[in-house]
Amino acid sequence: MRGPQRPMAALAAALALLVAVGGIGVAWADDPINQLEDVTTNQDVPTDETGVVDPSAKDDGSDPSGTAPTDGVGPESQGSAGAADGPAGVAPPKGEGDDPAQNADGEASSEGTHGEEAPMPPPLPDPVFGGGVSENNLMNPQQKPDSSFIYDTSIGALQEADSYLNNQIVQVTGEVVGDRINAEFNPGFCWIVLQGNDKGRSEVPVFIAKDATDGIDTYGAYGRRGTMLQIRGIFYLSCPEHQGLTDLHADTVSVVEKGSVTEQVFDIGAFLPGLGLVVLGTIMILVFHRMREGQR
Amino acid sequence: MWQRFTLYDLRVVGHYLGTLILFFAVLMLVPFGTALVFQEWEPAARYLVSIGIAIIIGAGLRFLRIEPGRLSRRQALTVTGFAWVVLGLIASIPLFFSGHYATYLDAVFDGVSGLTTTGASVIVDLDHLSYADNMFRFAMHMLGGLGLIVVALSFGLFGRGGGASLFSSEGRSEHVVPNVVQTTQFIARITLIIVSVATVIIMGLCLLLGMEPARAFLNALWVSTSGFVTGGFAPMQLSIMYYHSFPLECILMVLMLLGSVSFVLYAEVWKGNVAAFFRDLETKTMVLWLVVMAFVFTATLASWPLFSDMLAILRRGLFTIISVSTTTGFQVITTNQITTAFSNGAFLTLAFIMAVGGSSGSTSGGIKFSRMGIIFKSIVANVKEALAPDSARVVVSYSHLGRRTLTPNIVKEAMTVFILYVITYVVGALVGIAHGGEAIPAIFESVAMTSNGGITTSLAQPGMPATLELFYILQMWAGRLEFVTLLALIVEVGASLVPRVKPRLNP
Repeated sequence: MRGPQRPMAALAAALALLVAVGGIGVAWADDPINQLEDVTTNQDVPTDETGVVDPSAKDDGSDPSGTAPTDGVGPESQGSAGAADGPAGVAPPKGEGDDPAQNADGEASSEGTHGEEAPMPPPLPDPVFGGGVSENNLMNPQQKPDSSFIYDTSIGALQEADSYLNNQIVQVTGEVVGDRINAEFNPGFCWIVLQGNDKGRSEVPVFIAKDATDGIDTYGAYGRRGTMLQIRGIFYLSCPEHQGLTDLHADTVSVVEKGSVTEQVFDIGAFLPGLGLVVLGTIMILVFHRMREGQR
Repeated sequence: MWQRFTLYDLRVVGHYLGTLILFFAVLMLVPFGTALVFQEWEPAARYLVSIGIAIIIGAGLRFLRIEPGRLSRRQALTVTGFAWVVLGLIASIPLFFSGHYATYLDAVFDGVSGLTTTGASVIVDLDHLSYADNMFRFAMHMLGGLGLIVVALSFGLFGRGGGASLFSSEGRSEHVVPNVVQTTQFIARITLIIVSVATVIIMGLCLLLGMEPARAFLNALWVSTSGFVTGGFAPMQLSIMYYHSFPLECILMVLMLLGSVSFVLYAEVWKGNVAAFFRDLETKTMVLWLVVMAFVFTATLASWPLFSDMLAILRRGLFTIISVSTTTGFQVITTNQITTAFSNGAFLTLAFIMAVGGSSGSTSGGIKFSRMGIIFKSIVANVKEALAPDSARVVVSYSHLGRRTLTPNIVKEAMTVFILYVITYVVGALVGIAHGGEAIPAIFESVAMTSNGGITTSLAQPGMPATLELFYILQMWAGRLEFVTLLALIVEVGASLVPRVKPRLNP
């Protein structure tokens, strides 16, 4: 599970840089897609040749292990919301970004302070406990979930997704099964199905450029194990482009493992029990007819 | 005084069940042949063993009575009642050993679901299932959709004995033509023609979608079969969503609607009496019901932010309404969308649509439009009587294969079946809730099983509790037989098991 954590750390760091340097506030989720275009997209994230986020692309050698500690699923993005714990290429302020527990909280540094101690505002009365409370700790009730993060999740989670994952960038890994179906009204695109390895073998339809399917050598079926792909893209619980279909629009595709075909070997021995039973049954039928003829 | 089974009855019933099982063994030659063609050797060997087992069981049962004689009505009811479950048990043998079922009961569930054309499935990893197993699933749909007894009669399996009794015991009371065997052959012929035409068209579409010819043919054959017999099994796990093709969805909508029309009306249209179709009580009820429910469904969806796009409602909503109304169970939306993106109102509306189902004498399940129409007419008659002078005699008539007068007997029959359906829906929902399900999914699932609708949400899952699964199997069975046959069977079995009380002699 270490694999997915580092890319997430690098992405969190990249976002923190934008927040801190560019003065862009925390992303709001009113229009996540347009918001992403303003803030960052997968193309902005340094990746290796397979499209996976590449921690080594950091140009200032900041310690990736010190950023955005996560467990690789949805909550990761919660933890990194507004995080300013060291974007790719920029070392985090001393004392920030080194402590995973601290980073998981994420909220505290979203104002973009760079380690300099700002003068504390006068304490306000706490409506609950009656004491003073820092203004910095005031909660914004209008705060909406930030969507500008990648959810490294599972296909099973997508199949049971609620509106929280709608319009989010997700990254899933699964086996390609079935066929490549040409997309309607869109000749450059097609549909594939990605199947998870969970107990229920969850599936998600993936809308993908035809060129991106060149790496698929096998489509899963009986006796065939399909190519394992890692796909990053935008998940729609109810896709506006495809009349409400639940789908995943692939953005980056990488082959994790090639497919395989299990050779079907003909073994006459496997047929002998069946043949024996059929012969026995046929004899019973013949005896029955003989007895019926005898009664007539 | 309830009638009991005599030993003679049991022997006769056993003999005919054996005949049906032998016929089922012949049906298994279809998946066996498919396995040989596609060189799926493991499924081929598995189906050969299953055929052997079926032949031995079938032939063994036939020995119970060498010369069975003519079937009485009671015996016919018993044969029909048991046939669906006995064949479901036989079907579960090759299904379970495919390795795609969590438990043996899951395989039985799918066997009964396939035969009763419910279409609910608890199979795991459908997309890696062999062509042979898939072919078997759809062969079961075809057999069950036409009716086990209809098919058996059209092949002359029961000889001259008890054809009419068997025919009516399967929930069919109207003959297309006077002769039962000719009626069954007509039904089979209509089905073959429509499925063949649909297969050719859908295969062409699948080829355009980029599928390989063999897969295009098989997928076309399977969805055409499943669509027309309003079954609901799909060859791919994503159901009809898999194809991402609006033309294909349109063809399937037409197929499902054709499948939900009474075969008797086909005969009328066949004779050139097209007006009879439009005048029929069922057709009028169907149009009225679907328009009203489509309006309600659209309104509830439109008020919900996640599924309010007009194109989405038109494409996915319309297909879903037709799919649940005909009790097919094809899906162009995910189960998760039904529970998450739909409002509770939309969810419940689908359950109501599914509860009513399609036309009597068709392959659809549910309460049926004819009964709803008759109950509505009965309400009209009551209102008329209340308003009419005491001396007036109120006569309400309706059109169904000619002009008919509404009689108390007709209303009683419709009300009885209606109430039995409602009771079963409620009891099934309570059973689902008792197994930890949420109320609305439990209602939905219960309706889906009893009406043979087949769309499931959260309760009918692989490895579900055995008690829940057994109850769902019972619901599918009861819904397919429209209760009367099953109730008669249960009463007779119950009465036969209770020991006779010897009359006391006075001292």
